[in-house]
Amino acid sequence: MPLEIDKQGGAGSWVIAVRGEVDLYSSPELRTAITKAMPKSGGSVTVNLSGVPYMDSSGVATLVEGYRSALETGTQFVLAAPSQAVMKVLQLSRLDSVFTIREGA
Amino acid sequence: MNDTSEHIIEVRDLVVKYGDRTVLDGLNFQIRRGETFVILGGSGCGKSTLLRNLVGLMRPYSGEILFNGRDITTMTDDERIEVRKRVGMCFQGSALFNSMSLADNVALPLREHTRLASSTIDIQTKIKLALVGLSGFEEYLPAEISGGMKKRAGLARAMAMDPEIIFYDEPSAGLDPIVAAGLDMLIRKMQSTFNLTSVVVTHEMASVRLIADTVCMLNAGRIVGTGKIDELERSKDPFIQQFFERRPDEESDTRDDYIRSLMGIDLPGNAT
Repeated sequence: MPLEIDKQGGAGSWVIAVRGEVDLYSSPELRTAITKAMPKSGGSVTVNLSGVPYMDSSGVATLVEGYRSALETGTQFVLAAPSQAVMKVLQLSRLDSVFTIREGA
Repeated sequence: MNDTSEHIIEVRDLVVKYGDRTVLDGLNFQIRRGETFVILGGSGCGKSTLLRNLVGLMRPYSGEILFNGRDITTMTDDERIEVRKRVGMCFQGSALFNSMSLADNVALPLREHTRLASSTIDIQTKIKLALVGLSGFEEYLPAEISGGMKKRAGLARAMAMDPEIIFYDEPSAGLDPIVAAGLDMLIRKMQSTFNLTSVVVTHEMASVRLIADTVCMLNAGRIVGTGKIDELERSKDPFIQQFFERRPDEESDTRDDYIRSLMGIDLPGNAT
């Protein structure tokens, strides 16, 4: 299942909708999308994960990178609608309490 | 993660020989996706040889080993390398590179086989080491940590590429019971979170009871029983009973056989 990434929004407020499995081979694409969407300062980036049935540790690491960049730029970084499988990986990595996670997309 | 068939591994009529000696003799079994499959048996029964064949480090004399439906015994070397990227191996001696830090040991396969950014790999490496309880030890060398920590670092490296299946060769060997139990719990945790298939070669019964979904028991290169641990414990097979009851072999040599083997002669009065 190839990764599909759709970016919508503007004026420093972006929603990145991800569809497909985020793994060692596809996570660089997600990283590029998050990096490009990150405002120079302020604003928000929401990563909609409702279409992601599986995410490996490279995907988690990519989200951590996004979170770190957002902290540096004062941007709100939100994960939206992660599946149970993705939540489990975030919980095992003890990152579920670090990210701002919104249940709905 | 696209393969969804019930069995991740199927072994058919596997025969392995060292020269003329048959080490594995016509094995047939299947490993379900997401289960912990334990290969159990005494020393020298062929457990480690079986593991080396399952991982593709050896080619068998005959038979098939299907990984996600594809026979690895007939694959080219390049195809096998691709398969190995989806497989993690936890070696008995951990097999860490002594000149590298733990972080570099874990990061190595990611640097070699992926296009991930180094900053992503750094975070991923920290996550893997934290998963096995080695947060803060990233810059330590293998020589600077205990045996149990080395095993855990070996597991972190085996997990580096987020494999579908991890093979463990005697994971508890040489560990005290508390550290061994911690490692068993870790194997369980990885399985439940990532639906990771684990294949564990061991003869540690305490560990088997804790982690095994299915046990495959080998004796002298043949399967003598497969099933849940309590099913095997009720088995009438003499070897399985002896193994679970920890009964030693009866001495096969008589006194006269022993003296004959030492001196190369028959004792007077023996008409054999």
